Amino acid sequence: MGLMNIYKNRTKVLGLNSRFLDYIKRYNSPKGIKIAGDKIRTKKLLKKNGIPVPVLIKSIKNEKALDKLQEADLPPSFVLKPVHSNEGRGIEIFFNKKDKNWIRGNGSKVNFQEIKEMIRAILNGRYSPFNEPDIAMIEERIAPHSKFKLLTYEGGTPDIRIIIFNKVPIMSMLRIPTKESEGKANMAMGAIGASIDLGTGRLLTAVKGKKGEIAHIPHNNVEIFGFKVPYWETLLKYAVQVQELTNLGYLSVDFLIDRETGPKIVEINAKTGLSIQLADQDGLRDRMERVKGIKIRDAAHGITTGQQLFGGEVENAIENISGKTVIGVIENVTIHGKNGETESTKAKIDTGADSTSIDRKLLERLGYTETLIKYEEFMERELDEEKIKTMSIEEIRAYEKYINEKADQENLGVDHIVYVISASGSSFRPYFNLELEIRGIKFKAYCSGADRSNLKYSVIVGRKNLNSFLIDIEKK
Amino acid sequence: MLQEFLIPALLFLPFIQLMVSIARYIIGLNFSSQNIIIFLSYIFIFSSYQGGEQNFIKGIVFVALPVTVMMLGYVLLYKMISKLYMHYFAKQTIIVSIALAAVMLSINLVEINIENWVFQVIAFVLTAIVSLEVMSLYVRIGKKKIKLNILNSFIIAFVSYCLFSTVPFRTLLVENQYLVLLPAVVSIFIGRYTGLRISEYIRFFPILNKDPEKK
Repeated sequence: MGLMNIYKNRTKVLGLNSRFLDYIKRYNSPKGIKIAGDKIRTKKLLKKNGIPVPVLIKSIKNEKALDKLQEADLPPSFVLKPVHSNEGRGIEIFFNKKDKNWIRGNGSKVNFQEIKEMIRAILNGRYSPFNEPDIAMIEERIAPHSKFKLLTYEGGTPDIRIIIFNKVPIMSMLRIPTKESEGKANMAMGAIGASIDLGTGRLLTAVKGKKGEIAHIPHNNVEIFGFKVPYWETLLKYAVQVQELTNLGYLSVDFLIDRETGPKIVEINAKTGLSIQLADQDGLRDRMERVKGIKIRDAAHGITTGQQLFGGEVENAIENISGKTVIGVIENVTIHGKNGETESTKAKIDTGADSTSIDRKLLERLGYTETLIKYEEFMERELDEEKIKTMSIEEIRAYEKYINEKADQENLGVDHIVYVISASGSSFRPYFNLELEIRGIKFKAYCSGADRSNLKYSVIVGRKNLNSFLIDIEKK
Repeated sequence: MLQEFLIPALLFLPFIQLMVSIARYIIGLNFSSQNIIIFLSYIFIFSSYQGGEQNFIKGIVFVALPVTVMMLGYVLLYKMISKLYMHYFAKQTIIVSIALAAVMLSINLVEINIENWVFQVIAFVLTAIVSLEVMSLYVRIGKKKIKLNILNSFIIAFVSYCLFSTVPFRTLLVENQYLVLLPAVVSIFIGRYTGLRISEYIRFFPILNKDPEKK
């Protein structure tokens, strides 16, 4: 029922009232808010602490400084920003200077005098809160990372926003400029907001502007879902470090990724917008309540906590579509043995192997010691290794059948004996029908017993037993 | 009669502010300046006083014509002279002069009676001030945002005016002047409200309408 859903979900979504009273007022110090509100101060603080920021070319503090400004002082590409504006107001991108004209973010041409007028408007406080006199800053234009080429509209640079609370990344999105947003990553103007899976850095759902859900980039029809944001772990690390430096309990950190030098922080916000919830299709308040009060030791702990609590959304989506569980290359596996014995260990997921193999010692711990001794005595008695060496494959299979019949007669307790041909050497191996469990999925598997004492993992899970899973080689 | 109008008008300020709080924190109407709403409300109130009593329609006519004309005049004039190489306050003075001349013209057109000249003068001064505020807001937030912003301010001011125009309310306020503390009491609750605003229920409807059990 719609109304019931709204009633239940109302405490999950963060609104402006709660943002101010429950989070900004409680967790953000006035000093931290002041730092976040001053782009030059932010830049100095971050630079001093080794966090990369765009290079400041010039700051113009008053009319006198503006009068002194020469055309030659401005590089062919740069960004003009008011020091105290928020929500991206007053920010202008200029690039490709030709014949005394720069191209503006919206595609129009502007000359030096027009740029001076824009600077004058900033100085007069046009974009600052309460129209107080402001400072104009000119900083380097970040050339967008080549991976973003397919996503962004010409001239625009996508930015990444990560929201941090209590040193834990809570939610993140990639803002992609469009034609409507005039090359700016401003969702209010029509830019795309695509949520990023905190665990993998891959894009999930997206909205254009502050509403309409979309699946493809409008101007070239490129699919948004699954796109991987470069430097993802580095971005998370920097974002949490910023929180530690500014002492802002709740903030968002905006990044650009330079083609050559990687991530750079362009802005931090102590009063971050709420549209990210529409992009992520989830509520911020619920997430913040979940991490409130957790003792976070350091940045690494914060990132792991965020990824474990709120990551894995890409996998969820894939799992919903395929009906299969996404697993990594190394997974924890629980094996159920005889008489209720169970063992949990790390297993290698090996699609190169046909079937699952378990170390002899592990089988002993699972209650198969007696069976293995009986099997070894039986094989020593029955197996003629010299004879096998001279046999063809067909003859070996016939011999395998004979061995199995004999083993059944003697009631060895082994489910099957198979002649395994592998790169490391061919031999007869005992097989046991065991129940395995990976990520809560239980399945029956015929597992061969082998000496794996000199190998890193005591279990490998082969492709015959991986029908219920999809393997992500990047998953940890 | 004058007392029955003036005392409620004086005590009405906290009620306007209460309306502003409800509009912002409960309904979620977007506006940038509380002053514009307060001035507009008082323009409604003062311009409605005629011949010893309140005339509801007169207030609406005044706001609909002189106020709107002056606001639009300011913004239009600003657009015309914004590119002139001049200081900001000098530009404002030019605009105020021309806009007031336009207002005088509109007054003559609607033949507003100036018999209650004190209130009319107050209404005019407030109109001039509110128009300046609107112009500086236009400069600050741009033409896209200002339309909705001003419309919302008009709505809140009009609702406040409707409340003021209710005779029982005014009588109650005259007879129980400490009723002026009522907005303070209500504000204690509004001031601590951390739930979603009505507008946010609409904005976040796609998230709110999701099945909470479904991941």
